[in-house]
Formats: sequence, structure tokens, C-alpha cells
Amino acid sequence: MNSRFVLLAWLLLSCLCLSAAQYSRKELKEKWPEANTIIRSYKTLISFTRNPETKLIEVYQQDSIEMIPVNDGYIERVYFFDVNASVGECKLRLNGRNKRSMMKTIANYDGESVFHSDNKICLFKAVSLADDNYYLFTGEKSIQDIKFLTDVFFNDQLYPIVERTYTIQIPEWLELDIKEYNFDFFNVEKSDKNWEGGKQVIFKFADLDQLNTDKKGFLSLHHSYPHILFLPKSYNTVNGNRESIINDTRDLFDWYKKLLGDLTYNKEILGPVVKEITKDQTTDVDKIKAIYYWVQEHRRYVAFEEGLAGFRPEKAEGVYHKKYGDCKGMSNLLYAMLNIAGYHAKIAWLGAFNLRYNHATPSLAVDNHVICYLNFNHDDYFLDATIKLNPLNNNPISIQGKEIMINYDSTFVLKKIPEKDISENLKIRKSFYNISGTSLVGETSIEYNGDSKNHLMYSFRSIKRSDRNEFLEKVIIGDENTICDSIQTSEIDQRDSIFKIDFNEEVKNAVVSFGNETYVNLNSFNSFTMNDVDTTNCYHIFLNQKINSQSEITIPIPEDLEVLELPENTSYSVGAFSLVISYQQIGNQLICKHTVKINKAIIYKEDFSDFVDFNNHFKKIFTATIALKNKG
Amino acid sequence: MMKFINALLLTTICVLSHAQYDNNDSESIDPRIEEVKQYMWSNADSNFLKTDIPEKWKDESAVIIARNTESSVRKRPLSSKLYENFYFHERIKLLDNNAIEKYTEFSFRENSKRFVGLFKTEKVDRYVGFKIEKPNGDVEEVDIAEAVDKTIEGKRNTFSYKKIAIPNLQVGDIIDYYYCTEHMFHTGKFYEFSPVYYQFQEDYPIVWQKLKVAVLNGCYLKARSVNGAPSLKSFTDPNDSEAISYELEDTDRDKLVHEEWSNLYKEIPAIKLQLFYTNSGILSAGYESFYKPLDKMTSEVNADALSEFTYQMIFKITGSYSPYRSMYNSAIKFLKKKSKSNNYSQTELAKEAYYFLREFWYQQQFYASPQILGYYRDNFDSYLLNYLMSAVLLKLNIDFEALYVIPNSFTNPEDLLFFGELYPAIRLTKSDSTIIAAAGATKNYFDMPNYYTGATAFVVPVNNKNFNNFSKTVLPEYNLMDHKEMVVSEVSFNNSYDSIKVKSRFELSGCEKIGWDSVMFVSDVIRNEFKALVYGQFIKDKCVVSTIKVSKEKELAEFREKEAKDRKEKILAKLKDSYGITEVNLNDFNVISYGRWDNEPNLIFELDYTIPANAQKLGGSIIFNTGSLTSFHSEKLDEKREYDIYLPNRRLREQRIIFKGLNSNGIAGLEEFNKAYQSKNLAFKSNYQISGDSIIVDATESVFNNSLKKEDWTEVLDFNQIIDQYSHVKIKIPTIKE
Repeated sequence: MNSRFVLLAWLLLSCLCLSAAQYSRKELKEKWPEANTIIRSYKTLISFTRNPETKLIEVYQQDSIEMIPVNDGYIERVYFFDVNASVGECKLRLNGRNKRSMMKTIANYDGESVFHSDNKICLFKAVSLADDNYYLFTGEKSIQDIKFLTDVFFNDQLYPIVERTYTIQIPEWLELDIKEYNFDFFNVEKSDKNWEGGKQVIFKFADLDQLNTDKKGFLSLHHSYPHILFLPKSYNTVNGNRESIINDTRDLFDWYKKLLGDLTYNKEILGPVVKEITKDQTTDVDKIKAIYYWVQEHRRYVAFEEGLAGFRPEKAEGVYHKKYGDCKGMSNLLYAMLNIAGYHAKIAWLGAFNLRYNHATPSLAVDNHVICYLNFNHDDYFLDATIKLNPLNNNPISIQGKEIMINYDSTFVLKKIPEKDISENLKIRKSFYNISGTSLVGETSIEYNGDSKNHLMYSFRSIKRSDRNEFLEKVIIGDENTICDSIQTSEIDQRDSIFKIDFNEEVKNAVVSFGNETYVNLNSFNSFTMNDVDTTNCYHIFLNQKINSQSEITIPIPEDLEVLELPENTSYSVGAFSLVISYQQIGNQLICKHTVKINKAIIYKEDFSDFVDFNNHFKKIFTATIALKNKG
Repeated sequence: MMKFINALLLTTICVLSHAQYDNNDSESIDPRIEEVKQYMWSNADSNFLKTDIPEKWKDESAVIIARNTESSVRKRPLSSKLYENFYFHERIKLLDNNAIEKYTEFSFRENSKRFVGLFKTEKVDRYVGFKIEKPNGDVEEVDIAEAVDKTIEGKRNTFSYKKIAIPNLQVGDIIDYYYCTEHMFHTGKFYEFSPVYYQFQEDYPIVWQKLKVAVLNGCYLKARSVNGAPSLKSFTDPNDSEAISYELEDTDRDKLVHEEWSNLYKEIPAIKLQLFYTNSGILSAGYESFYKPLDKMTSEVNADALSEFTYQMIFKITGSYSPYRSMYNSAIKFLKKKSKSNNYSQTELAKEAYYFLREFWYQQQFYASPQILGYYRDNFDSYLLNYLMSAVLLKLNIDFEALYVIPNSFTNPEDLLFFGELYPAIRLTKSDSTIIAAAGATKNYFDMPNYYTGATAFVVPVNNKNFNNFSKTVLPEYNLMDHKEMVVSEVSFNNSYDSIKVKSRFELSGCEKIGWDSVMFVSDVIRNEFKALVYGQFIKDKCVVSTIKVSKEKELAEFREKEAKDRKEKILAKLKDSYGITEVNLNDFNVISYGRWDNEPNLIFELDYTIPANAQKLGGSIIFNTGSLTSFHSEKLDEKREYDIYLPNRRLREQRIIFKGLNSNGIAGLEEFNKAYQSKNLAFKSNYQISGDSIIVDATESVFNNSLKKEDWTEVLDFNQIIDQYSHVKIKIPTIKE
């Protein structure tokens, strides 16, 4: 069908549906008081055509967006695109009639911590006045190959939406699956209906907030917001032949293999390097370790996303010479060097922790990272060369629990990277204090393991040396009443042992005396920093690690005092959260111990009530006070 | 007048400019690339060969071993072309990962050329080079060809730049890079380059640095070294014998320290520079003549220019094409009518002029088409106020003095160099010497910005419509009573001692008022007061050119509604940020006076809120930390002090907390409220008394002097400590009634 006619008919339909807007302007402002513009209707139509020249299936996206300006300012629209896509004609009309000019800007778009990518942003901007009725924006985008139509989010980057309609016209000749994610907490209706050329799948959402990534504990859009994955399986050519697109995991692998290109490497260049690196190593594991660590230390991770669809790695010797590379390039260099050393390393694809998919879903959206995999002596090694100072066998949180697709040339193997057991993340704090006036004064030692160590060391290494003490006081102790000095740490650049911090400490205003009674409060040891996170309009909380924290505080009872009352020993456990706290008098010493465990690194909305209960108990327990009195 | 000095930190010169250029012209400059590279690297000073750093800086994040900055401006004879060249070269030893991350990527603009007239072009050629020196002496030059192209395409212009990754940087490496621009453009009779504030200290220590400036053909230099910085010395450059060259060298600079209440303009050795060009050595009267005397390099300024400048600005603002002409005319009409019906003194007329202009500006939002052309573009700031007031006073034949204040916070009077360092004010001469300087919806005619206090000012007397030659004066110091905060709070616990109900009355003046103005003030205040006041009536009857549309009225009503809602949020944020009071449930608030008029200049309001008690319960009593009720909070301060101390302002803060409904007999710990500290600059005093069923705690904090020497730091520490003790007073309250 003529695509212009489809658009016209669809726009007409859109206009007829205008009455669907349910809110008055005043109600809109009350509902989204922070918004300068509110989208009352956002309709998208996705259609597909077969391009006989390229033999690819092209995707057309047509948007019709009605925006109500709430304040004087600007109306903005954005499209993101890359080498596989283009943005077509876009128009803006006041009240759907009078054409308004827009300023158009196209720029490279490097996401956060990406050095360079071929992604571009196309921004449209126009002045808007609050007393204008509404603006109708119509825009088009096309994607040259359906494989690159991957994930689609329904919330808008810029404005809240009253009503969102997303229509997918699937022609009879195309087999396309659509997989839904994060629909549970949103007001959505899905319907299927026949259409003259096939079927239409329609998603209708109501009351969508704009995308917000600024919340404390936010990990990724994919863990929060409703979205779909397009899974184009196969299609009939104009001649009636059935052609596979990405029908299953095997097809996905074949596509990756095609993109991966030639993995050969120059042994003459890299061979002597490998020989030099491993010359002092006697065992195989030490040799593997030496190569892995050399790549981490001597090649800098610089995120390039310019290869074909971001999947084609640079040649190993290219990364060696340039001295930097992205995840694909660094994995390729590591792969080459390990193979030169006689270890049959493999390239493996995975979706890092910001994604929620596995390879049973055959889509290019499921993977965004490449590592090197090695099975040696029946042991699995997952080698992520992009993480500086990462020890062998200590997989970072960003890849734990993720499924990898390992390239065995003609075939692939799926394997899951094990999640760290909570016991591996143990953080132990031991403090010995004396009561001194209104303060507790003494020494503290903290040991970090696993992910707790990884996170701390990453932060510690990235701040200025001269700021490290201040960092410790502010971030680790996190209490304005505490003063630290004489801070000693174990070697910061070591990988294979625990990380330890020792320091002297004064906890001010922890002790108060009234007549012959003295009270000691240990509230300042409440160091779990996520207990103030706001769970409203939030769909997950990322904790960085499974938390396993133990503390032991010893306070000698001064000679002239004795215990009047100790707080009750308490334990609390719900779901993945647990807390145990005890107070004891042993001889002339008071010993307070507590253990906090959260056996999840990501807390999803369904666990929020447990999380809130846990936090309430946590706060209550830590206001307990030790009561002492004068002897005699 | 330029409002700001561009404090151009030359270490960050690779930051992208947002000027719009097009027509990349990289092919025509190829030979120059090698020439510049030779000049920057091969001919560099021997300090650029050094690799070691002083032992005392071994624990720093990075150390700048050498830095060279060269700038030259020259005019081509018989042409309107001006050439401005800038060469920057730096060599840095990287000592931790933080420094490596900082230097691992660079972005830089591409060459550009644009047409600015029929046959005129503006052209900027840029050159960069990066090399890494390893601890073993290996030198690796970064291939600029590896840089990736980035663009921002607009409808008419394309902004292009490059981004390069510096490979293989490791702790212990030295990065040696240069960045140069050669800028050619056309000019008229006079051109001033942006003022430059070159600081000799930054976040990393500097072993050696050099600054060179060269001027030729009609170009001149103004320069002044401040805070003990070295001065430029004239020398003959063998490579550029036609130019008049100046240079300075500096060594062994520690990194700068970031301390609370410090003023880096007063501490960091720096040199102020401004280059300018004038055709045939002529500077016209007024603004341009501020650049006199026309020596090739001078550190003088010509304050005589201010008289003519003042005249010109008044002429300009009242001229036929001035967007503010309607504002000026309306004020004159109003004041003439006023002076006919009342026997006003000149001071009273000036006051009326101030309030009329203020109200005229701020009621613009209620019209469909503002009467001031620049309303949406401009701000009613002290510059606009000053020249409008001057024009009005001149028209009414009221003598006054146009003041050009050199704020102490930004520069010492003797170090004045840039025109933008002067801030305007008006002083009435015939009566009470009132200084009019502050513009704003909540400002009064006698309010004066804090940074004017005790400042030196140039005075241009305007008598009988004559603009006389300048003199100098020193503005009065503020009294701490001018900046006062008084808070009286009634406090009561709920029955279960879980929460506290607080009713507070705030009364604020001066700088203490400013912080709350932005919280409490809403546009409805102007609207309501405007309707009720003579200014509003006059503007409505005599000046309105277009009335507001009904639809706009509706919009404004909604806007006011939002403002009112936002005000609640702002109150909560202010209580949290300034008083440390969190988890507030605001029950009600009431503004008694917005302090916009001279008969009631204080902001007065009441808050009614509830907060959690966060008390520790112990059988039949609680331990209550009173810190959540006080507006006094201590800071975490270092024992050592590097720089002089500049507290925000002189001030007096008084607080009374009245605990209601407590049985004072059983309460323990009240004596801890009795604190006292007094020094020559600071004081704190608190005590308690029992009155019936109430316990009353009074506290007073006084800052007699806000500019302290670093030797006075112990005073600040002691003062801080006593406040810390006061804000952590805990009392034990019996919860079981006797």
C-alpha cells in the first residue's frame, strides 16, 4: 500500500481520536507539576516493506505527537539514529493547522562513558507559548534493516504522556514476535486485530511519566520502564521464498559471527610480547593470569561503538599498537595473546547487568558486551579485560549471573557466569573505643572482600591521592560527628588479597551524662547508605553488590561505672534482608555486634515492601542506647 | 558596561568554544602544522626537558613541570586585519589514576573560516600536539590522525571538532602537549580583547611557568600583577624584533587550597591582562578613554573617563531608540505630578523614583505586550537601575553622585584594571547620603549589596546638571544590626513523645533576609500590592498601553497557583539546607511582611510544622537531642588555615526556643544550655530560664567583623566549637507525669 496514503489515513484517525484526552490543562499541571510540556497523545505506527534492491526489510516509523505547552518556553523532539537509520520529514503545526518552523540540529551522540559512537541525535526545537492550545508534531524515521529494530520504550525522554498508542502493522509475509518487558506496574492494554495486509498489534498506555534516570539506586531503563523487543524471525520474499532473519539463537550466533569478521592475528607481532610477559611464570594459571593482567594494565579501555552495529572488533595487533580499545578490541587482543600462549580462549558475547535478557530471546538487543572465555583444566575463566585490576576468578558485578554466548567457530555454547555468593562480599569492621567525655575515641579496622572491595578500590583509585582521607571520612564513615586520622590502607593496586583500612577515630556526641547516669549511643554506626532511598516512582534499586556487613564494637566500661541497662538483642529477617544485633557485657567490656545482609544486588519493586520494613527496623534498632551508672 | 571579568584559566584552553564557524579549511595550512610543531617542541625552553619533580610534591595527583603561554596581537599596516595568536604548551607528570583519567581524552576545535562581509573573512587556525614520555625515557607522539571527527549540524552552521584518546597513559608518565590558535579578523577604530585573569596557582603544583605577551602596530597592553605575582618585564625577542615583548617567569608554586570562606581573588597570585587596539593612537571620550594612558604597557586606568561615560549612558538610556524610554517618561510624569501635590524633599523624591521604577518593571508581566521592549531579554539589575535613576534625578534637577564601586571581594582598589571591575551606585548628596544600588522586587531603596561595604568608589558629582571630575570615597561599613535574624519558636511534644510541633516566627533583615526572599516571595505579592498602591494606580491610569487578555489572565492565575505550591517545597528545602531540619511536615505558614517598603523593611513570617522527635526512649524518660530545633549548626573545620577568612557578612542571629508543657523539675541536662564565647570578631551566648510551665532557651550569635586574618582562625574554631556544643545539647525528659 502507498505509505503516504497509510500515513494520511492514520493521521485522520488520530484526529478523530483527539477527544480521548481525559484531563483539563489544569489537571495536567497538577498531575505533572514539573513538566513544561505534556504530551496528550503520542501515536506511533510501525510498518515494514521489502526492499527488492537491498533484499532487506525496511522499517518505517511514523509519529504523531500532540503536545500541550504548560509554560512559555520550547518544544523539543529528538530522534536517535545511526548508520542503519535515517530521520525523514518532520513538521510542527500549531493546533494541528498552522505550520511552525523548528530549529533542527544533528550531532554525534556519545552516551555516558563512551568515547565515540556512530549514534547521532536529531533534535528539533521550537518556541512555544503557554497559552497556545496544542502543537502537533509529525515525524518519520526509517531503519534500513529490520534486524536493527530491537528495543522500543514507550515513555518519552522529555515529557510525560497522557495517552500512548503504538501500532505495529505486521504484514502476512513477515513472521515477527514481540516480547514485552516491565508491563506489570503500568496501565497498558494490548490488542491484536486483523488488517488488510496482515495483522495489527496495538499497545495503549495511559499516564506515562517521562524517563527518569536520576534516582538514587537507578541501574538502567531496561530494569524499570515498559518496553518491547522486536524479534523478526523470517519472511517471504516477493518470489514467495521463505528467508530466515533471526529465527533462533543459532541465527543470532551466525549474525554475530558475520559481524565478528576475521579473528586472525599477527603472531610475529604479538608472539614476542606474549613470550616476554610469561617468561617468569611457571604454572599455566600464572601464565593466564600474567597475560590477563598485562592487557588490563597496559591497554586502556576506551569505549568505541563505531564498528558495524557495534559488534566488529578491531584487530588484535591494532589494539596492541594503539594501546587502547573497546571491549571487543581488548577481548580480541586477550584472545589472541592467550591462544599464542597455547590456551584456547574464545570470544563471548553477553548483555551486561543493565540488560534483562538472555539468548533464548534472539535479538541484537540482548548483548552489549564482549569478554574472553577460557576453559582450562575443566575450570571456567571469564576474562573481562576492560576492568582494571580485576583479579582472575573475581567476576565483577557487571557480568555476574549473566549468560554468555561463546564462539566455538562453527557453533556456540551458552554458559552462565556464576553469581558471587554473599559470603564472598564480607565486610568486617572492628572498633575498639574508650569513653572520653562526650566522645568515643579509639581505633577501627575495616576489611573488604569481593564486590565490597572492588567498589571501594575503584573509587579509591579514581580520586586524587591527596583527597583519600577526606573520601574515607565522607563516604566510608559518612557521619558528621566522626573524625578520622592516621588512616592506613593496604596496597591499593593489589588484586589478590583483602583490602584493609585502619584508622583512629573520634565519634563526637556519642556519650551524655545526667547525674550519676551515662548513656552511650551507637547510632553513628548506621552506615547502610541506601536506607534513605525514595521508592516512589521507582521500579528497582541497585545496591552495587550483595551486602554482607559485620561490625563489632568493643568499649571498656570505665572503672567508676557499671551497666544500668543494655538494649535488647534483636534479629529481623524478611525475604532477602536480615539484621542481627547483640549487646553483651563480657568482663569489664561492652561488646556490640551487628550483621546486615541483603542477598540481592538489585531489589525489584515486588520486594519494596520488604525493603521498607527492613529499613524501618534498621533505623529503629540503631537508636538503641546503652545505659551506665556510677558504681555504689 | 561589561559585567564580568573573564577569569580565563589557561590550563583549560582545550575546552570547546561555542562560536559558530564553518568552511573547514584544513588543507591550506599543512606546512604550518610542521612549523608550529617545531616551534612548540623543538624550540621549547629547557624546562620542557626535565622529568623530575621536587620531592615535596611526590604525593600529589600530578605536577606541572613546565607551562609556557604566549600571546601576541598585531595589526597589519594599511589593513583592517587584526591578528591574535595564542600558544600554550604544558608538561605534566601524572602521579595517580585521577590525573590519568583527566588527561586521557582531549577535544579540540577544527580550523575554521567564515565570511563576515562582502570581502572580509574571519579565520582561526588551530594546532595541537600530544606526546607521552615514559619513565624509561621512551617518547611516544600521539598520532593526531587517530582523532575522531565530531559534528553538530545546524540549519545554517556546522560546528566541527575532534576528539582524541591518549593511549597507554600510566602513573609516572609525562604528558607534553600544546594547543595554539592563530586568529585573524577585521576590526574598526577600537577593539578590546577579553580581559584575562592569569592565575599562577591551580589544582596541581607548578614547577616552572612562563608568560609572554607581544604587541605590535596600534596594539596596547594593560597589565597588573596582584597578590605578590611577578610582573611582566620588557625584553627584545630575537625572533620577533619588531614587536614590543614582555615576559615573566615563575617557579615553585604549590597547588591552590580549597578552603571554606576563602576568597581566591585575594589569595592567588595572578596577573590581570587586557590587550586592545586603537586606530592611530586615538581613544574617544567616555568608555574608550578609560584605557588611557596610551603606553605600550601600563597598569594605570583613567578614572576621568567616568564623568563622560556617565553622561553618555544617561543620554543613551533616555534616547529615542532606548527600550527603556517609556519607563523613564512614565517615571518623570509620575514624579512631576507627585511633587506638585506634595511638598517632597529631594530624598523623598528619589525614594519615590526608586519605588516607581521598581514597580513599573515588575508589573510588566501583567500586560499582554510589555511596555519595555527589552523586558523579556533584560533583567532589572543595578546597571539598569543606576542609569535610569541617574536620568530621572538629572531631569528633576536633583544633585547626586554617580558612584563606581570597586568591590573589595573582587579586587583591591589599587589593583583596578578592568572596566568590568566597577559596579555602579548613586549617592544622594543634599540630605542623608543614601546610597541607591540594589535592584530587585524585594529590595528597598536603601539596600546595598554586601560587597559594597567598606569599598572604595570613584565619585562623579552631578550638580546643576553638570558632570564634574571624579574624586574617591570609601563607602560605610555595615553594622551587624543591618543583617539580623530573629527566630522565636514554641515547641511541644505529642503525647507519645514521637513528634514535635513547632511554631516559629522569623524576622529577617539585610543579607539574612535575601536567603529567605527567594523562598517566600511570589508574584502575587506584586500584583496585590500594585493594585493597592499609588504607583500601580498611576501606571494603570496613565501608562498602560495594552491590557491583559482574559486567556493570559487565566494562565497567570495558574502560574500563581504553581508558585504557591512551589513555595511550600522551597520552605522545606530551606529548612533542610540552612537549618538542618529534615522530615518536616509543614502545617501552615503566614507571611506578615515581605519587607519591600521602607516603613517595614524586614521580612516577617510564621511557620507551623511538625518534625519527628528522634528521641531515645528509656523506660520512663527520653533523651532528646535539641539540635533539630536550633538554627545554629557547626561546620567540620580543619585545624590549619592557609588563607584569610571571609565570612558571609556581619550579622546578628537571635533565637528563642520555648518548650511548652514540660515538667521542668524532672528534666536533666538543662544547664548545658548555658554557653558563652566572646572574641574581638565573634560571639555566642546561650542560656535557659524556667517560666511557669515553659522552659525558655535564648541564644545569640554575633559576627562583628566578617573579614578575618588567617591568624584569627583559632577564634573561628573556638566559636565553631561552642556552637557545636550548643547544637548537640541533650536533655533527659521524664515522660511519666509525676
